[in-house]
Amino acid sequence: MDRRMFLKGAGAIAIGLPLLEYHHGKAWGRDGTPAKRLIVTFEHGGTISPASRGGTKDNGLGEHHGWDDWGPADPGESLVLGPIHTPLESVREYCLLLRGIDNMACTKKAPYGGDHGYANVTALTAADVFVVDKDQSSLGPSIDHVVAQRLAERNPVAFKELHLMVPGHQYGTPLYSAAKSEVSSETDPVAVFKALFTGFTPTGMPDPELTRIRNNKKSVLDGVMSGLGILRKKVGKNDLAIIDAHTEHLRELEKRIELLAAQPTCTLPTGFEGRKVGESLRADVRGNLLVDLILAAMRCGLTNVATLQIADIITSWLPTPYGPVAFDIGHSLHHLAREVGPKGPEAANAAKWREEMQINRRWRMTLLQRLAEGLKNTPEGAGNMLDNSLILHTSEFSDGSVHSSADIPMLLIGKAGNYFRTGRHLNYNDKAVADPKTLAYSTTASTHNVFTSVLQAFGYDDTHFGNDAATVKGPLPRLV
Amino acid sequence: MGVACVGHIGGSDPDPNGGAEGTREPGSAPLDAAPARLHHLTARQYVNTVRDLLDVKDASPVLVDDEGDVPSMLLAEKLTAAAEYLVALKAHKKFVPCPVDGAGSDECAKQYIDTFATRAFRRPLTDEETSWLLTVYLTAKKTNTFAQSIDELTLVILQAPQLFYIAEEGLAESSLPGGLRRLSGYERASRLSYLLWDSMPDAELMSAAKSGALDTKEGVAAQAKRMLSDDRARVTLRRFVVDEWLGLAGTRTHVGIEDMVKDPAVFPVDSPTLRAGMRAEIEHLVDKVVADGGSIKQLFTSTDAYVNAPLAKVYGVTAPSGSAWVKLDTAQRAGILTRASFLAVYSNPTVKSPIRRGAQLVKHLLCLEIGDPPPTVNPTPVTHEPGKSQTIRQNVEAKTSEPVCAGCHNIVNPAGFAFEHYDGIGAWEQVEAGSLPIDWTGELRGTDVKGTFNGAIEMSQKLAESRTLKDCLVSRWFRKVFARSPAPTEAASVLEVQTNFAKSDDLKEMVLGLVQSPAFLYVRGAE
Repeated sequence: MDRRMFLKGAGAIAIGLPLLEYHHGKAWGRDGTPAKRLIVTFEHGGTISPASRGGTKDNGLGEHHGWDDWGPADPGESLVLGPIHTPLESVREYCLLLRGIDNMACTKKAPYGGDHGYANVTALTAADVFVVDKDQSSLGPSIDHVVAQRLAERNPVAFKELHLMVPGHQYGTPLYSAAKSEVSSETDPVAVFKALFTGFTPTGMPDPELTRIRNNKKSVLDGVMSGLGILRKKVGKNDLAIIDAHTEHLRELEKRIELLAAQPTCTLPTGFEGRKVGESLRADVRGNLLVDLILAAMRCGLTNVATLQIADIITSWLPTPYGPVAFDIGHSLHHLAREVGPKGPEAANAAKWREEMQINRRWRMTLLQRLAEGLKNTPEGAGNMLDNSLILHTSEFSDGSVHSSADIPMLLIGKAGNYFRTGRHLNYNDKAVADPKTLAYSTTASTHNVFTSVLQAFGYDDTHFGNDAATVKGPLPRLV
Repeated sequence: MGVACVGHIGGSDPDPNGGAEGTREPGSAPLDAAPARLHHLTARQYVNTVRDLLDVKDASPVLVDDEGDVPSMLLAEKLTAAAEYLVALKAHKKFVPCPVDGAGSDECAKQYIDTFATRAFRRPLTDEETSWLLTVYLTAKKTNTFAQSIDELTLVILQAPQLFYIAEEGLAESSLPGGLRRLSGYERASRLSYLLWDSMPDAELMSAAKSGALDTKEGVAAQAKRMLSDDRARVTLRRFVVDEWLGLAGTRTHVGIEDMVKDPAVFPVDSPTLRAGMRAEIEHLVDKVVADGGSIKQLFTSTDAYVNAPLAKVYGVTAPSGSAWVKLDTAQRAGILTRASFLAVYSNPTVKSPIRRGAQLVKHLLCLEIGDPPPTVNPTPVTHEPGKSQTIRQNVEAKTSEPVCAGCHNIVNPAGFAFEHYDGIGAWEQVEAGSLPIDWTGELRGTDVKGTFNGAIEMSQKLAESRTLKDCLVSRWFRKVFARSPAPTEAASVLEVQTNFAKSDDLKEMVLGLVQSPAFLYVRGAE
């Protein structure tokens, strides 16, 4: 049998142990390098930050608050987690909190220095922007896609990339597979479960019917691709990208069938029993299930790269000190950052606003906690999966209330193969060198540099990622 | 923020001289159109198409609508999974002209390709396409039974790009201006069908395409009239007016009827039943208007309301048993803008919002270019301030009086103030905050129906006669039809439809006008 599943009873030893199923031959890439994994988590709407569009911090004496709750509790290099990051204490030694990073593809090139459209499409691409009918689109791929494509060469997996999302209010995807090629994300955990694990049979014997179905699937895909070839001759050159992308996706599906045929043991995640596609789920339940699917897929060697977007939602199931019915979308709540300063119209509600925002943003961190702990608790080689993985967490904004893409949230968790020196806080605000608490801001660090560092961490020798908006090219210094 | 608020009618950008290469025919726009552009069915269109194709009304394949034009991996995966789901239903077997579970024959498979794939692709197959599908079948047949081979062939057809994409080429004709091509009858059939029914053409439409009846715009109009009488067209028009024009399904900037947030302490009448009633009412009203003749005047002045018990309470009328039509107070209600769904969606959780109501009216129903709010806008809902005797209107005026705000709010506010007698759930309030007198006078600035009005009833009567509103409706309809703004080569078509629609009071005339315009009937070569 080419694919097997440990079921309860049949694989009692496996139950309770976070077994790294693909250990047999898949912990190492085709070129002999250790398997590495990238998970990009993206929180829509920014965080509690006093960063203006230029990055200068608001002093908190006027209408805008001056809280830097995304920041660490101590400005030193040894990371002391701040109020939003407290759920990450168990993986603190794996965290690298990077401050003073701008998304310069947005801050330098967008009208007014940024807006929802520009900020979103550049956040993970650092690319130039194409505008049509007032809608923005990226002219380059996002970092997750570039890494996924390359890792798949080194370590072929059935799912080059998993794109998942806790749905709700947001202003567009930050994920791109190529120029003007927006990536859609699956929001239904049960649909993901079925896509990942359908066909894992409980027997250990070859199943001729499965083999026939698999072979038929490949020939069906061949048939559809032939149809695409016929259609391709009819379309204009501006539409070739549509046909070519569709064809490429089908080729990937064909490869998936081959790779799944050789899939070794896999322990399925729990929590999906009895659930149906399209089931209504509260956001926290959905978020946890999506995280568990990423963990299971990585433990099973089904993917090297995953993304998880978290929409800008009101966490209504948690305490809402500002008021359970004050807002319908998270971005409106965030906009009050401009009003809760001591001279702002909402000054009287400042403490409530801060508490509700912290509760909301900390919930997002609990998803990272679940993810990072899940990797950390999975043995791999002499260490654990988090040693060989990287979680890159960011957002399109620092302060969503002023649509600032300066000093954006940038948190790395994991060592990416003992590449990054973690457990640290690094501030790239030049003004903070002399005075760590300064409100002044100046930086040469951009997401371009962070993403270049990610590529180098995964073993590639790129010296630049993205467009020409970065002040300096190359990787971010001091990370390794 | 310097936002131009000049009251320009957006979206149409009409060029009265038409395209440079256009040849004006008596009574029609110069012949010109946009370049052909490949696009694929929406998730809804795919589901409707396969339901009609397989004659399985309750089939529910799951697709996703991407944000962009280039298909995502997720879409490709779901399309494949949808085909597998549909074949597993075995509904395709009834279209095979021989016993599927028998030995079958290659000739039977050929006939199946000729009939089933022709319907799926919405046109006769080319020789190359027939050969392709036959090869799929013959390849499968080498290792599978006849039934399994038919399944495999059907799997290919149900996710074939020839089904999923709409690729138009048009036909060259010497009488046409250079570069312009007449869409074939089959291409026109697909345009009509996906526009009016969100699904594939039916047998009669395909027959009209085959006979050449769709080669003339009169023939297109005849089919469009037939299709408009079908319930599916009513759904399309309802969805266009309710969800898209009024925006009651929600967008990226606001939530819809089902998701709006209301404070139960302020609005104890709110409940899922009330919201279901709100949606049913606005949809029934649009349906009734269309069924009664499509009158714009009726749309903006009717006092007919289909209500359930909680909605009757909001309107202050006797609650029916179940749901029923009632007449609303003519002093309080007139048409779609005075209904609870519109008024509640464009309110805040605790209070009414003249800004949100006014912005939706002037931006989306009148197409006035007022730009988006600056990123630094204060989103705090304007409410009654404790201890102060000021109305929402007075607080809004105070908050938006600064020059940086006033440019746009001088247009938005006077429109939104028309609704001041309706609270945040859409109920009539005679006074505000217990005792404050309400001023609902206003003005529709930047439109053809200038001058002040006294409240939403008078304003709705003005809107019912407004050319600005009708022009905007055409622009929005055009955008729905083509999923984009008009190209410069389509400006004359838009202007022609607007001009003709201005003489009519029938919503359906707008539909018929656009499907007879050069923008709909012709195409330029793909670029």
